[in-house]
Amino acid sequence: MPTKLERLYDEHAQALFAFLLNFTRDENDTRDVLQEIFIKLARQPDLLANAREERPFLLRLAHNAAIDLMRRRGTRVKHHEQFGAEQLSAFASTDDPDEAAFRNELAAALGELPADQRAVVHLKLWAGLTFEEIAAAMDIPLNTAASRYRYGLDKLRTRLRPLYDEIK
Amino acid sequence: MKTDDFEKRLQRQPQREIPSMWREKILTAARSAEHDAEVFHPASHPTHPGFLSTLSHQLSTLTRPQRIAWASLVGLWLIILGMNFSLRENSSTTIAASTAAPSPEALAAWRRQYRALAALTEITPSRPIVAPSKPTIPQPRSNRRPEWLAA
Repeated sequence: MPTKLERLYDEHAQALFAFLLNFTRDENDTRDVLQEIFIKLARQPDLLANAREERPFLLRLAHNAAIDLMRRRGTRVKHHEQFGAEQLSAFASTDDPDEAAFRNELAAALGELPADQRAVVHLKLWAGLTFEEIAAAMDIPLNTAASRYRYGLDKLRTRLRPLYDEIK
Repeated sequence: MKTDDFEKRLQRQPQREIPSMWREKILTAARSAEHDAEVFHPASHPTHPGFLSTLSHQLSTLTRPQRIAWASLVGLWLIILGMNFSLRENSSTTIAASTAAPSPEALAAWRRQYRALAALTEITPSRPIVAPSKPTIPQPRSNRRPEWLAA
């Protein structure tokens, strides 16, 4: 029978990984933050006791931990903002050339977004959170979460429109 | 291009899989941290130790890393405390000696100096020269209040 930590890992680590990889744009940072979260959960077993739902709460922990990591490393934040698009893709590879091109372009477009917009877009599209949950996770007003999503999505649409129309 | 279609298209993009080897590493690190937390914070254990044992444990947890340094610090403080007590005894003796009544010779010398100063400044002493009076000590209150009330 899996322990509580193992169950949490099996149920949520993939979602946390995807969010952190998209947010930090760095695999090492992603692993560090993910490990930090599970160490925190191990040290404070009651941390999740008052959480209404585990996934949004863990994504909030992940967001805060990633922000802390970036602040600790200071200058690397700009590095992430400027060159994140060229570094890695948070999407699975595929043999279909059209899909591969779209995913590469999408990864690059996401990398060009400001980190806050990228986080909101990811939480809405791929983590399936509501704007209310996103606002709570990122500690921002509900309207700010919605507007960041709209701006981010508009940028992605503008950037991907030619490719999307071509392969649609 | 409809927004809904575009959003759905984005949502369908599969995310990268988390590397399988991370699971063991991360969970091992977490278990290790959990173990450390249990070792250093046994207060969360089901048994309820007394206040003194908890305090003793907290102190030992605090001092465990540098026992020699803490022992040296305690020794140093004991030495300082001892020196402080010995100096305090000496100083109290000095103060007691200095507050003793002046000797007759010193009093006669003081009277001579006072007369000489009075002659120089042409001031006649209005009252006899006496030794400085001792500070008055508060006496017990009398019980005359009822008599006043009766009068």
